[in-house]
Amino acid sequence: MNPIAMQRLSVRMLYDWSLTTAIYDTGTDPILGVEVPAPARATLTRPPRELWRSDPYRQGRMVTALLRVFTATCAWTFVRAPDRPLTDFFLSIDFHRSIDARTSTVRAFGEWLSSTFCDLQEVASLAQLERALDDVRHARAPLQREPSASWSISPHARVLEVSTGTSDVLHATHQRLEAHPISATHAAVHGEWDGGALTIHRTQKERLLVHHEPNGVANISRISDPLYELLAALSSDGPHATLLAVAAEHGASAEDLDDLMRDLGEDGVVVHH
Amino acid sequence: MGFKARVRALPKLGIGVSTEYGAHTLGETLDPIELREQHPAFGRFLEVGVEIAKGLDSDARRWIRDGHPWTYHFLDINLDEPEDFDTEWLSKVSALVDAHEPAWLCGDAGLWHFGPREPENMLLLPPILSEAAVRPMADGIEQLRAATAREVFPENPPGTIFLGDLHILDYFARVCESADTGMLLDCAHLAIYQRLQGMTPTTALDGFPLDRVVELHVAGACVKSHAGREIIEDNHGTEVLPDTWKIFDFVLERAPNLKAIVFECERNSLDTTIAGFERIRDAAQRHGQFEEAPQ
Repeated sequence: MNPIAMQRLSVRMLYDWSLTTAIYDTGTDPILGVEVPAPARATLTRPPRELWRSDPYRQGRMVTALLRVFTATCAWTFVRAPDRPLTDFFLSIDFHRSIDARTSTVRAFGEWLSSTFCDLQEVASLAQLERALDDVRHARAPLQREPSASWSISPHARVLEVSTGTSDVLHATHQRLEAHPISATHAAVHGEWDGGALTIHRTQKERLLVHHEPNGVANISRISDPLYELLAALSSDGPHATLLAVAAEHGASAEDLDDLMRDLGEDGVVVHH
Repeated sequence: MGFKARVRALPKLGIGVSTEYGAHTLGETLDPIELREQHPAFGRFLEVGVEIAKGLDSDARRWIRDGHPWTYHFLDINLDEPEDFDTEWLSKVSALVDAHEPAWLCGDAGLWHFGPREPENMLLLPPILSEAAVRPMADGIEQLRAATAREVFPENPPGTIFLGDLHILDYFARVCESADTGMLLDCAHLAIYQRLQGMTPTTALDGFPLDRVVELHVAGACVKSHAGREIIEDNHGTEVLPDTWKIFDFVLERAPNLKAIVFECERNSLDTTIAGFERIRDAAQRHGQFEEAPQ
């Protein structure tokens, strides 16, 4: 095992004590389903086992940091599912894969929230939206490869389809949390806010554009179905023919499409290659 | 040009103090400018902890604007991880270094964050102390040195878990040799390591190339208990462990290229730090360090 791989495994062990126990007791990594080579296991298990747990606040610090990104989502989890701790994230495949593959742990937390709380409409929808907001704030590229079309969606923009009312609930939740005299985080963790009269439709959908503007403000706007379909095609690296087909479906010509792309380019929503 | 020639060109900074973004705004904490005004010998230079996403705070900017010497202590680069040297980070670091001209760069050579550089992923772990981990660390030091045209001195990080078959000093001796660089030896971090390993404070120092030591750190620590074991926390308080002083005195006497000593005490009130600074000054004088007037 090379040093970087060992370092990443050690990070996972620091956050997930069940993994640490498994490595010490059996030499297997049950989460990623691999056997740890004997020399690496010998190195990892040389320190006294209890030292891996010497920082009792490690998980809490990270959850607190993640909570600042997913404030509204987490606030709803504390209200709707107080018996399901957010520290379970550290036991999840999402967490462990993010460390092992050196991908964003923040993003992994958002994905974990969406899937773990998929039975709770507000949590699942808000997690999607707050994840998109964090993506555009950090300008994370939506594609892992070079885009094939001449236009692609900007790293500062995302489109998503969520349950109708999600953007309003996000806004209202933030407002109510921020009204707390101590802090929004305190209000979220202690449930000291009123989530009453905020509802998300279970069946209807709204289509949103999340855009982080150069002035540092992240805007959320509802967009039309044709624009959503075009930007969704760009987000998944659809070829130019797909864009033309979407445009034609909505009665627009190739010239109309070019004009629209230029306008979106000027707004910073799409990027020309 | 090799390290031995390059180190001669470095300024002798003397005794300084550390800070990081917003440190002085946290309650009754030390103001580096006040330290320099009231005790010039203890505030010859400022070591600024920098996360490039935050930049420099107003205290650091004022210090630099006034023309006082400073060093850049990075807090956000995993030197041994090639993916961490992304273009955006490197260009921002280079721009800051070009604009504000630190004497050199330094910082813990360990894991500052896991995954991509995101504030939620911050931590600090020591590197894997093995032969295979030497060259990747040296590569990172060389890359940062080339990108900034400044010396880059690795520092031995603190920790409670140290993995690998090399003693931490043997590991860093190899890194310094491989990257042909100097070293920032943190005496408090080394004391923590030695105690955890059940070794005496100065174990393995006799085999370490002390002519590579350019900078020393001294800091307070506190002893805690966890599951019946003694854990030392590097809390940057003013109570310096006797082990740390032993390491400090040992190295001070034998480090011909020493240029700077930092008392890491940024979270304490000025009056509580003076005894520590005086102890450092007296030892430095006793061992003939910084006899020339610092620049």
